Amino acid sequence: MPTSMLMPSLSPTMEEGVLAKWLVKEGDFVKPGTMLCSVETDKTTVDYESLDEGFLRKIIVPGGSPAKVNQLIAVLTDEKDEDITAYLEKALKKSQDMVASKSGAKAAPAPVAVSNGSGPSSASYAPARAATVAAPEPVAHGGASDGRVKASPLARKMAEDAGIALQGLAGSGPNGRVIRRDIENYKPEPKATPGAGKTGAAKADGPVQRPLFGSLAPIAPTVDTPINMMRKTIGKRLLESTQGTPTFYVTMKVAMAAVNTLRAQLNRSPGYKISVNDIITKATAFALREFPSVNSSYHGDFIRQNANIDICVAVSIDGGLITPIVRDADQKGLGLISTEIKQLVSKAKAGKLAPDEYQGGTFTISNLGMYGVDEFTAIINPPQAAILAVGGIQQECYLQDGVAKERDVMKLTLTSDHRVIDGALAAQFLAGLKSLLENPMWLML
Amino acid sequence: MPMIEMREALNQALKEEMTRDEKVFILGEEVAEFNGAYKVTKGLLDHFGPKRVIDTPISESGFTGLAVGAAMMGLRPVVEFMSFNFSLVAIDQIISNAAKMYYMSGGLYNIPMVMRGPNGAGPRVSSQHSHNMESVYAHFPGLHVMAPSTPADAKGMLKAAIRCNDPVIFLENELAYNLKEEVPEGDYIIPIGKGDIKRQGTDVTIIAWSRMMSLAKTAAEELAKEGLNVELLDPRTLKPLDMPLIAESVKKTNRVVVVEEGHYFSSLGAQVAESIYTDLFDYLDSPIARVCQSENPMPYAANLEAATLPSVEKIIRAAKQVTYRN
Repeated sequence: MPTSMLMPSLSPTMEEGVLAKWLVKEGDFVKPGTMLCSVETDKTTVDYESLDEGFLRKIIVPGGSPAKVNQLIAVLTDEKDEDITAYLEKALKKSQDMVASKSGAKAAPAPVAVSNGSGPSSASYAPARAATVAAPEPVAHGGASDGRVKASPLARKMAEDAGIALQGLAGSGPNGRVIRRDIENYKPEPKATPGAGKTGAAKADGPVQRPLFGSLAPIAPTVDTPINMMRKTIGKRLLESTQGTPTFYVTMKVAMAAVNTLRAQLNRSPGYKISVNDIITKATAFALREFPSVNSSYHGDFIRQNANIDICVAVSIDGGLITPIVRDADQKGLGLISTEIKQLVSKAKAGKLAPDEYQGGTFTISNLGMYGVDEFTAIINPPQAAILAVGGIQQECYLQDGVAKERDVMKLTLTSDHRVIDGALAAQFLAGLKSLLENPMWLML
Repeated sequence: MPMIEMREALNQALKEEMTRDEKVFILGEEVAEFNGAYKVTKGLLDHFGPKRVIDTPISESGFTGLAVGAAMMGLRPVVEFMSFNFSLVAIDQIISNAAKMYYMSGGLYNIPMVMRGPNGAGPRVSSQHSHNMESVYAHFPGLHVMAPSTPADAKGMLKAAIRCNDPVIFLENELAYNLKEEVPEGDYIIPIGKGDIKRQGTDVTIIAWSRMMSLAKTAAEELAKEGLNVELLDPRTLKPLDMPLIAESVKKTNRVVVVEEGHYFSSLGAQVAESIYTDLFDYLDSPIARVCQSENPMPYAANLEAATLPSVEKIIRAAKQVTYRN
C-alpha cells in the first residue's frame, strides 16, 4: 500500500524549503529512523527521518529543488515494484489542495505526511515541535490576512488565560478588534480528533476553567493515542540519559526571604513581573560563571567546558515538554531574562519556537515549585553535565540562638553526570548558588 | 444632616479650622468687608477680626508672595483668588516660591499654605476668564491639587488642605457654589490623595472631578435607562492621584472615560489616561475615551460656549464608544 511523503514544516515561518539532497535512492528499503533527505529551511538544514517502513518507490521532488510545505515529495510502498499510477494521481491532487490551504490559512494544523494506513502503526511525519500543533486544541482558524490579530489588551489576556487562540477569532470591535465579549462568547469549533471533545466541552462553559474532582468529574474513556514524535524524542533521549549516565544527586535548602524582598521591590517598578524562577535563572547563570566546569557537556572522548552560559528552561506544553534557551543568561539583566522567558514560554505553548530557540543550551533548570512540589530529581538532558531541579517555597520552623522562628525555604536538587562533575564540585556549586539566592543583591555586581 | 450649599460647606471648613488653629488666616480681594466675591468668607471678618481676615489690594503677585513669607514664618495662610484666572498674575510666586521653597531651603521651610478660589468656566465670561488651571499646577512638583465635586467633600477636603504642611491648590467652581447637598456637621477630614466612588457600576468607569462630576452623574442616569451600568469615580485630589482606587475600578469595568473641563492637549485627563495605560494595560477592553474642552479660546456666545465645553451628551457618546454600543 503506498504512503505519501510531504514536505514538512520545520519552522513557524517556513512556507517553502529546498530539498537539498536525497540520502536514499529510489528502490531503497527504508525503516523508521532511516535518514531520507536533508531539507533546507529559512532557518537551518534538517535531516528528515523516516517513521515508516517500506520501499522508496518514487522520488517526486529531486534533490536541489524547492518544494512548498505539504507538497508531495516522494511515495513509499510496501512492495518494491508496486503500481502506483492511480495512487500518484490522487496523491498529487491532494498535495496541491493542502499546499493551497496552507497558504490560505496561517494556522493550519501540523503539516503531516499523510499515510493511507489506519491505526496506530501508521505514524506520521510530524517534526517534534510541530507535533504540539497537531494536538487537539479548540482553535478557531480564520483568515487574518497579515497575521496580526487586533485585540484589546484585556481580550488578549483573557484568551491567554483560557488557552484560546486569538488567531482567526472574529472580533466584533472596530476594525475587527477582538474584545472582551468575543472571548466570553467564544465557542470552540467541534473537532473529530480524539480528545478534542473533552477539552472543547470544558472550555465551552466559559473562559475560566475549574478542575472538577470526584464524582463531578466526567469519567474519561480509554483512549489509545499514537506516540508522536515529541513523546518519542523525550522517551529516547531520557532513556539514554538514565541508562547511560552515572548520576548522583545533591540537595540543598535555601532561605528565600531575601529573594522575596527583592522580588517585591523589583515588581513595584511598573511593567515588570519578575518571578522567583527568573531570579533562580539569573543566579544559576552567575554560579555557573563561578564554577565553569559545571557548565560542561560530555562528548564520549572529551569533555567540553562551554564558553557560553545558555540556560534551558523546562516548559510543560500540551503533549510533552520542551526546553527553550535563555542565551548568555549570565550577561543579561533580570528584566531581560524575565521578558525572554515569558516570550519563550508563550512561543513554546503555541508551538512556535524556532529550532535555534530550543536546540543547544549548556545547563537546564526544571522548576516544579508552582505545583507544590517539595523537592524532586530531574533527568540530565544530554550532553549537558547537570540539571537543577527546583522545588516550591515552603514555610518552616527553625532554631536561631535557641529560639524557634519561621522562614521561607526552597530546596534545590542538582543531578550531575559523575563523568564530568564530582561530588565536591556539585556541593560547591550548590553552595555558591545558595549564597547568591540568600544575598541576591550580589546579582547586581 | 443639614442640606447646605457648597459655599456654606467651605465657609464651615474655614471657620472651624480658624477656630481650631489661630495660625490660620485668610487674605485676598474682597474677602473681608464684602464677605467674599462668592460669599465663601461670609461672616468671618466679624467673627475673627481684621488681623485674620485681610482685604488686599488688587495685587495677586504681592499678596501671594506675602503669604509664602508668612507660611515660611510659621503661619498658615489661606489665599483666596477671586478667580483662578487671576492666579496667573501670581504664578511665579506659586510655582517658583510656594512649590519650591521646601526643596530650595534644604527642608528648612515648609509652606503650609492653601490657594483657593473658583476654577474653570463661569457663565459667559469668555476666553480670558474661563481657564482650567489644574493641568498647569499639577504639572509642577511641590504642589498638591484638589478639586471637590460635592459640598460634603469640599468641607472635609478644605480642612485637610489647611492642615497640610505643604502648599495646596484648592480648585472650586463658580457654577457649583450653590450646589446643595447633605453635609455632616462638625469636624471631619477627607485625606489628600483619597478618591471616592460616587456611583457603583460594572460596565464603564467615568472619571470626573469638580463640576464635571455633576454632568457625569446625569449621564450615568441616562445610560442606566439604556442598560449601561456606569461607575463614577471622583479622584477628588488630582495630585497625587488615587491610583489604587482607579485600579480597583478599572479592573472591574475594563472601560474608561475621563471627563475634564479643561482642554484636550497635554492635560491632567491625559495624565490619568496615561497612568491607566501604564499600570492597567491588561485590564482594558477598549482605548480610553476623553471628553474635554475643545481646542479653542472660550467664545462669549452662549451656544458656542456650550459647544466648546463637555456636555452630558458628549459623555454619553464616549461611554457608548468605549463599551462598543454604537
